[in-house]
Parts: sequence; C-alpha cells; structure tokens
Amino acid sequence: MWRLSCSLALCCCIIAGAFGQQPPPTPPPLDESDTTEAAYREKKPDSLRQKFTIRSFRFGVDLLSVYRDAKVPTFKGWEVNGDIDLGKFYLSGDVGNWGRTYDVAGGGTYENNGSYWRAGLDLNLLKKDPDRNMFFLGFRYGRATFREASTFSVSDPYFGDIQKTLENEEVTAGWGELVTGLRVKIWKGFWMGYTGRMKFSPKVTGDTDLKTYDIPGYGLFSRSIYWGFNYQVFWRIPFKREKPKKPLVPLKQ
Amino acid sequence: MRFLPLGLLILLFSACLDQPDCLVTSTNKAVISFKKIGTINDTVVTISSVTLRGTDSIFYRDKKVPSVSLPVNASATQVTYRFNFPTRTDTLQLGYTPQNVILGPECGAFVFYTNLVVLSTSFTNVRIITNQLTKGDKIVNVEIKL
Repeated sequence: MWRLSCSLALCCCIIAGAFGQQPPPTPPPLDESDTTEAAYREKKPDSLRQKFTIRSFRFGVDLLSVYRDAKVPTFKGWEVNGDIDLGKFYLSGDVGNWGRTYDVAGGGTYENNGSYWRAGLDLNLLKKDPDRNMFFLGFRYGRATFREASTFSVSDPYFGDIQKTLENEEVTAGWGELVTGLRVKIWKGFWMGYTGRMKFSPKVTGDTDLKTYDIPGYGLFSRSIYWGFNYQVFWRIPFKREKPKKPLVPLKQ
Repeated sequence: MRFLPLGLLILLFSACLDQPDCLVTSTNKAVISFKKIGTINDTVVTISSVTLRGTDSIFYRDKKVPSVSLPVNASATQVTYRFNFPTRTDTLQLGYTPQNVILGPECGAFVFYTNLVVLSTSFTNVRIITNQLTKGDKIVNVEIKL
C-alpha cells in the first residue's frame, strides 16, 4: 500500500509538472493597418498548439518477450506494440500471448496460457523535438483471457492423501497501468525505445476451481502492484508526406 | 525533473526484490470453543469423545477441555462432528468453501477454507466467530454455548 501511494504521488507530481507550466501570454490583437514584418510573424500558427491529425502509424515488437521466450524455460510468449501519432498525444496499443509452466513445491504443477491486450493514451513531453522523439507518460487499460490448470496433492492424516486436479477454463482479467518511456528515431523509419509499466488493481473473474496465480500481460495476481518493462523496436509509417524542415532565417533589422 | 528518469528506473528495478513470501496461514482445523450461557470466558467441558462422520477417527477421548480443534475435509464442502458428552450426544454440521491457492513455485499449493457456516446442529446456541480457518493461538471459529 505504501509503495502504491508513493508511486501514485510520484506520477501525480510528474503529470502536474507537465501540465502546470504557465501558458504563453496571449498576443495583443493585430492591427490590420500594421504591415511590418513583426506583425506578420505573429500570424504564423503556434507550433506548440498542434491539431489532432493522424500523422503516422508505428508498429513494433517487444524484444524482451522474444528473449524470454527463447531463454526462460517457464515462459512462452510474444508481444507486438503500436501507436498512432496524433501530435502531442499518441494512441497506443499492445497485443500479446503469454504462457507459464511451473513445477510447484510438493510435487505439483501450474500452467496458464492466454492472450492479452492493452490500450491507452501517451503524452509526449518532448514538444519541440524535430524528429518527434518521445519521452512520454501515459496510461493503459489491460485485459486478458486465459486458461490455467494445476495439480497438487494434499496430505491429511484423517482423510488420506487427496490429489487435486484443477482447471479454470476461461478466466478474464482487467487492470490499469501507468506507463513511461522513450521512443528514439534511429534511422529513417526505424525506431527503438522502452516502456516501464506500473500495473495495478488486477480484477479476475472465472477463477472458480483455482485461485488465479498468474495473469498473462500482468503477472502475479497476488500483487496489487506489479512492474513491467518492454524494450521495443518499431517501424514508423507516415500518413502524409512530411515537409522538410526549413532553415531558420535571421530577421531583418 | 532532471532526476525523473533515474527515479523511475529505481522504482522499476525495485520489482526485482518483489519475491513471494512463503507465509502459510491456512489450516484445515476448525477451532470450536465452549461457553456457559451468560458467561464470556471459555468453559471447561468434559468430552467422552468426538467422532467425524465418514472416518473412523476419534478425537478428545475422555478429555476436559475449553475448546476443540477438529479437521475439515479438503475434498468436500461440509463436515459433520458428533460430540459425545457423559450425559448427552450432539452433532454439528459445518459447511465451507475450499479455495485452492498456489502461493508460488517455491512455496507450494495450499487449500484455504473460507465461508464457514453452520449447516445443522443439535446444540441450542451456536455461532460463527471467524468464518475462515487460519493459524493462530487466539483464533476461534465456532462458539457453542451450553
């Protein structure tokens, strides 16, 4: 609970810092009779006030999932990521598959397998970057559908040894996430980045026979806060041809 | 704001310390205490024996005790106890929900018993104090007033 409070307070500070900046003073109304260059320069659109137009689509894959799939014997899975550039905001989504297989102490087993998705919005804090690199904060809603099964035995001196074979056929889970990370342009459309996730408030339905142990896309259900990390590579497809950047020309005195 | 990325990274890596604790609080024993009507303290009663329906186990043969601790069946949702006192015999049928929980690969899997209720009884005054079976010195699940 203490960690949740600290984390939420930290995130609130970050978001408050991002939004708490003073807006630039409103310029005085233009005098139509004023034909000086300075007056015309004021008429140019404010580059910080960006419209919600779809600029590009970026899709990628989580390299950590690929690594864990290959190297971690208890994990099988993959995750793909994508986002849509709306200017200051990005619509983001992830889709993945996750399977765990554990040997449980006492001669038992546990396995789960299922798919998950996350969707949400990111706020790019690097407003003036010409390459549209990102340092972002955002939130996600995650949802998973999966099955899980376990076998274990219970020794009882009065009722004898009981072998339990349990299965939850269709379990659904939902949770929230606060995310932060970087996206950096490497070369042309090729991008790399990472995402750190603070996942919280998991809710599960359908765990009738066995209390859910592990949620695909989230982690241990017993943890009310769980941390996640992705290291991703992306390819960016612009929706409209981007204009080359004009060199800055000094104003005439 | 300059140290924000560092702070976030520290928070992220703190997850590495987040290993599960093998703290097992579950038990399959229901604690049943006895009280005289009108008193708040436990009353020592003489028990000839307690038997468990479905087994040939006999508990507390010729004992003077203020409470008894009796097992429940992990593969069932109810259990019936038969209390033999020197002058009378009573039965108590308890219902419960066994919840199968995996604490972790290193900790193992356990059955937790919740939603303890009295299904039927020949005692005149029985109430549930704690409806979950947990380990503890002062835990009482069922109180019987005699």
